[in-house]
Formats: sequence, structure tokens, C-alpha cells
Amino acid sequence: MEICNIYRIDYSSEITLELIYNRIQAGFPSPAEDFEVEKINLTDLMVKHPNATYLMRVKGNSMEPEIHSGDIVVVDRLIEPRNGTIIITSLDGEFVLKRLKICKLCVYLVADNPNYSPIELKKGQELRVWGVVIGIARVYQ
Amino acid sequence: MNYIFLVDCNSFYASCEMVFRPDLAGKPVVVLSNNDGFIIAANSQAKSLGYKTIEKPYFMLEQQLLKDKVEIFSANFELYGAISRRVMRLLSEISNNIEVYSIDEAFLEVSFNENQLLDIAFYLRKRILDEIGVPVSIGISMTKTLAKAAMEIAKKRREGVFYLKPDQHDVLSLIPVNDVWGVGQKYGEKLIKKGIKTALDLSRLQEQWAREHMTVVGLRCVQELNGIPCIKFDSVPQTRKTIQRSASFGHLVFTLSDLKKAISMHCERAGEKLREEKLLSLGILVYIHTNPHLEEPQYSRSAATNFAIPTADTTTLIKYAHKLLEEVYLPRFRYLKTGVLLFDLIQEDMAPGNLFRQPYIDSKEQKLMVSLDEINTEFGQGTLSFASSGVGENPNRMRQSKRSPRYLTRWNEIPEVKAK
Repeated sequence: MEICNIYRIDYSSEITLELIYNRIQAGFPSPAEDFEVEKINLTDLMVKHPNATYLMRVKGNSMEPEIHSGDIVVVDRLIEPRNGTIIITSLDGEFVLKRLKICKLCVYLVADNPNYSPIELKKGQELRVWGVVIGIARVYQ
Repeated sequence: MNYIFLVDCNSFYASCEMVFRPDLAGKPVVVLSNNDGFIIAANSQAKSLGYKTIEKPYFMLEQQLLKDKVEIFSANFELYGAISRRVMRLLSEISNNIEVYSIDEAFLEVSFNENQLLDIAFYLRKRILDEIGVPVSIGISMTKTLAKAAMEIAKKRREGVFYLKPDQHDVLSLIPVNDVWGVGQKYGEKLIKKGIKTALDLSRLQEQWAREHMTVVGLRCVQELNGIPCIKFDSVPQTRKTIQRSASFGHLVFTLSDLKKAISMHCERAGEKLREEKLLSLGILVYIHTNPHLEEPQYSRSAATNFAIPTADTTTLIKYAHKLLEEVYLPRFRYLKTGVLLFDLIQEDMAPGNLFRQPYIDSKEQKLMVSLDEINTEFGQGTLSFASSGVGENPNRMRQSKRSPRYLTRWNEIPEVKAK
């Protein structure tokens, strides 16, 4: 496969001209120029470990009033679960949202909504924590 | 001392499918190629049931897969790409010198003490499993070729990690010569005929002999097997040389018009990829072939040509592809697969000019392509497509009947967690 007659156009002079033109047009330098780099965004606020962070949509009301159905939870898989943290675990092959309650003698998976009863984990029973909820996002409209 | 880690994700596509499906733990899983043509990945449970990748077409295995209760997925490359990026980002925390070798494999150059190597490998493995959910194997040695050999052993071990010292003759003697990185089919048979059967035999060759019989490739193999690094680290990804889009048909086709529809669709996808990577193509190749697994008349042919000007315009791609297809097409065969390959790719800003033709850049064609891509990005691939690839219920549209949600890249497909 041969290709004949390939010429390359040199654009470099045009580009320089354009840059100078822009600079002339700019007139006075903006006094805010040096401050424009700092930006804030929600991701920086909510995500501590970008590589280990996942978003999930909540379905169900067992974590009311804290978390509503339809909310998006920000899940971090690096953070160690502690007493009182909300975790994602799997029960019967499904991802489930629960609050972890660690007592001296046993561990409970509890719902914030009193209509749901807590699950008690017996000694020797394995608990697989998929991730820890570190925040929620809720959009009204 | 510098060492090479080769990190390879185990049954990557199948593992990705399992990350967001806790119900699949311990169950057999396979992933099918584009258009549900073949099995392209099988997890260990599926492998132990005897399923292999790219062996028989899916339609021949479908019944057996159902009987064996194997979970079947259509390829979901958007998901695999997203998970791959996470793995590679994590690896780049460990070493600045990382070469992403494929979607599920990377070489890392690290400098640690020898007695730390295994600890670091286990730490890496645990982190990737905990944070991303994908199991990996790690082969460690002094050169890339030895790290590849170490990987062969690592994959067979439960702990998934193996450190191969260059003078470990017992291990090298277990590795067949054609499995040595770089040897391949071409030299493999030749070497076996000469009595060089294992990696160990190869490592003991005279450098002079290797160079004479296997060119510089062979010389490098011998040196690398002896612990002398001579394959450079490619930490900067090279510009893509070709773009290929192809798919097996869900059923065999024999009319030119069906082939044209399929090839139009491949041109659409290839065009999107070109524009996404800000490339222009100078050449196009089209191929068709029948199903080699069936006992019936076989035919395969390809043809290539150059564009008048470098382009990324889908209309042009389709026009040329159809002409080429007409050249290679013969009636009376049943075709399994057709594909398009764009070659001689150049960066948009390096495009040569042509006195007599308007270049693609800044042309009205380019503007049209920009709007097309914007709409398809916003509303989903294939929202706007070319009439020549068939409109509406087109049986040639990608069959992805069992594709999982794109959990990491689409808002409306993120995983669900039950509050119950």
C-alpha cells in the first residue's frame, strides 16, 4: 500500500500571528488572572479515594430519615468500617444498605427506620463489607 | 535493584461482570464477543466445566451453557475499560514506570530489595481485590520475558504470585519454548525441530547462533532469559497504527446488501473512534470470510485502497468500503464475518495538504461529523446513523442481548443498593 505525494503544510507562522493578535486584543491584564486556577467542585468534597469510590442508587426506605429511596450513595472501598458507619453488604446475593453496630459481644446490621428489625450476626458468622458509605447525593429537580 | 512486575487480571471480562453481582460468587460466568459470536472470557468455574475461549461459535454452545447453568454476558467494553483504568491508576501509584500492555495487563518497573518483592506483590494484589474487586496474578523477575514466564507459574498457583530468579533452572525447564514471550509460532516449530524444547534450552543457546537463526528477536529472547533486560519499557503509549471494527454475524449471511449494511455500521464505529482520537485515516481495508468451523465451501478475501485525502468522514469511509466490498464479494458463499480496518493513521494536525482538494479539517463534512458525534454521545450510540447501515430493526445491529449495565459510566445504569 503506497501513498504518493504527501505534503505537509507548515502552520507554525499562522499560529504565532494569532497568539500575538490575541495578546494585543487583551489590553489590560485581568487583576483576577492569578486567582482563576482555584476551582471548587463537589467531587473533591465528596470523594476521598477516587480509585476506590463507587456510586450506587438506593431503593427502599429502611434507612429513613437519613437516606431516602432514590438517593445516590457515595461508597468508599478503602475506608475501614467502624461502629456506626453505614455500609454496603450483600445479603442473599443483593447489595444491601445497613448501619453497622458493634457491641462487646456481637455485631448487628441495623436499619435507621424502626419498622425494620436488626440482623444479629453470631460469633463465627462472616460479614462481607463491600464498601462504606461516605456521603449521599440528592438532586431535587 | 530494579525488578519487573507483570500484573495480569484473571479472566478479566468475567471478573468485571462479577464485581457488581454478589449473587454470582462461585458460579460459572462467560462473556461473549461483539455480536455474541464467541466466548471471549470464562472464569475459573466455567473453565473447569470445559468452556474455552474462542473455540466454537456461541450458537453451538448455547444449549449446553444453559444446561450447565452458566451465567452468560454480552461484551460490555465500556465497563471493562472503566475498571481497567482504575486498575492501571492504582498500579501507577506503586511505580512511575508503568507500561499498559493490554486492557488487563501491565508491566511495572520497581526498585525494591529482593526480600520485599513478595510482600509488595501480595499487598498490590490485596489492594486491587479490595478496592476494585478484580483478582490479579503477578509475575516478578529481572526482565520482561522472565516476568512473562513467572506469570505462567503465578497463574497456576493459589496465591497468584511468583518470583522467578534468572538462574532457576528447574522452573525454566518446565516452560515450553513456544510459550516464551517473543518466540511464538514462527520460531517455536523451528526450535523444537532442533531439540530446543524449553525456556531453559533456549536460555543456553549461544547468542551468536540465536542471532543467526532468529534475528535480533532471538538474541533478545536469550539475553532476557538470562536476566539481561533488553526489551525497552514503553511507558508512553504509541499513537495507534490501525483501527479495526468487525463482528461475526449472529447468523450466516450471503447477500451483498446484508454485508454492505454490516460494513456501513463498522465504518460508523471506526469513524467515531478516529474522531475521538483526533486521527485521520489514509487507507482502508475491507475483509469478509465464511465460517471455518462449518464443513462447507470456504472463502475469504480482503482488499485495500487509499483515500484521496486523509479523512475521518464516515460518509467517505462507507463509500470506499462499499466499493471494496463489491470487489471481494462472491455470491454462493455463506459469510460469517466482515470487518473494516483503517490504516496509515495520522494526527489531525499533521494532515498533509493537497492543492486541488479541500482538506478534511474545517470542511463541511467535518462539521457534520462533529454534530453527529455530539448527538450520539448525548443520546447514546446509534441514535443518528447512516441509512446505508440499515434503519430500525436491523438484524446486523450489534447483538448484545445479555449486556450488563454500564455501572461506572452511565448515570441511569449505576448499581442499585436495597434499603430493606
